Amino acid sequence: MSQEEKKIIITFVIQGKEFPIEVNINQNIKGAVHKALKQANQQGSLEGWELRTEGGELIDMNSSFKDQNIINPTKLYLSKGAGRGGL
Amino acid sequence: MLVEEVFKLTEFRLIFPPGIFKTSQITMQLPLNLRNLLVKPIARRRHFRVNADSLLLDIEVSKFFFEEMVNEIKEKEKNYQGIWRISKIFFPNIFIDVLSAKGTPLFIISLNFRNYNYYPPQIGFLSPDEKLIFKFKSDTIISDDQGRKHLIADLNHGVWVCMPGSYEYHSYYFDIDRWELERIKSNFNIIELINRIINMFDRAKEDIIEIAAR
Repeated sequence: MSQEEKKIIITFVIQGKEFPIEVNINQNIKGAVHKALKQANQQGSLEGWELRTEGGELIDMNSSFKDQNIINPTKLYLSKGAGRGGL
Repeated sequence: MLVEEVFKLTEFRLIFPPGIFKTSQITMQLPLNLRNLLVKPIARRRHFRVNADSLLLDIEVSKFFFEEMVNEIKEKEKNYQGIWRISKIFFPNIFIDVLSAKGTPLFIISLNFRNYNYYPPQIGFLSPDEKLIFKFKSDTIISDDQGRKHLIADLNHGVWVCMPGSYEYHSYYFDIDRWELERIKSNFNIIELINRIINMFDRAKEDIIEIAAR
């Protein structure tokens, strides 16, 4: 399979549960996040959601997996931002 | 102006989030025909709230919810290996070890479920050797997308989290942001709360505590 068609399993972790999604490394990350959130019964838009690596690095969901150097199966962590409050 | 234990409202102030307008607030006079409105001062409304900083309201209820929280955190922690893990459990507290990106212990989140879920959990921060943290190094705290930081240094009581879902936040904003309206939402799941707090830190750094108790 060429690099252009390479498919991998990304496991999204949402509120402690795993949601494996098959993705093409060239596809936009947002689409896969949307699928994972739907499986987790998290309705609504992606607004406020943040995607991170195990090391805590924030991932730009508007880019592709390949652009973010995610080309092998891995776990990514979805959670909401802090929301209200703060100084 | 205080008139027989009520305020006579004559003006009000609009406060805007930063970055929208040049000014952060505008004070406006009430029209004359509305100036005789009488409102109870906020300070008096606060007075009627049960102060549960150190009070246990109902031990049976607290223990029931505490068991639920322990079970949920135990079940889900395996999916966060390399980020956090349970350190200690003793009613009504759960300590969570937070790890750096390299896997070394950074600090402990202390969750106190004293009156959960009548009130949200009280949240505190301890060093890896369980000393209260008063301040984190500012360059290790990540601002949110609006440039605000949610970890507030407090040299008397320790760092607190200014974020919905924490006792300290809903206690401070009791009048305008009620926990009762939030606690059933999935956004306030305990696992989500732990992760939101951890995401406020730059875990690539390993020396993040500025002031802790000796």
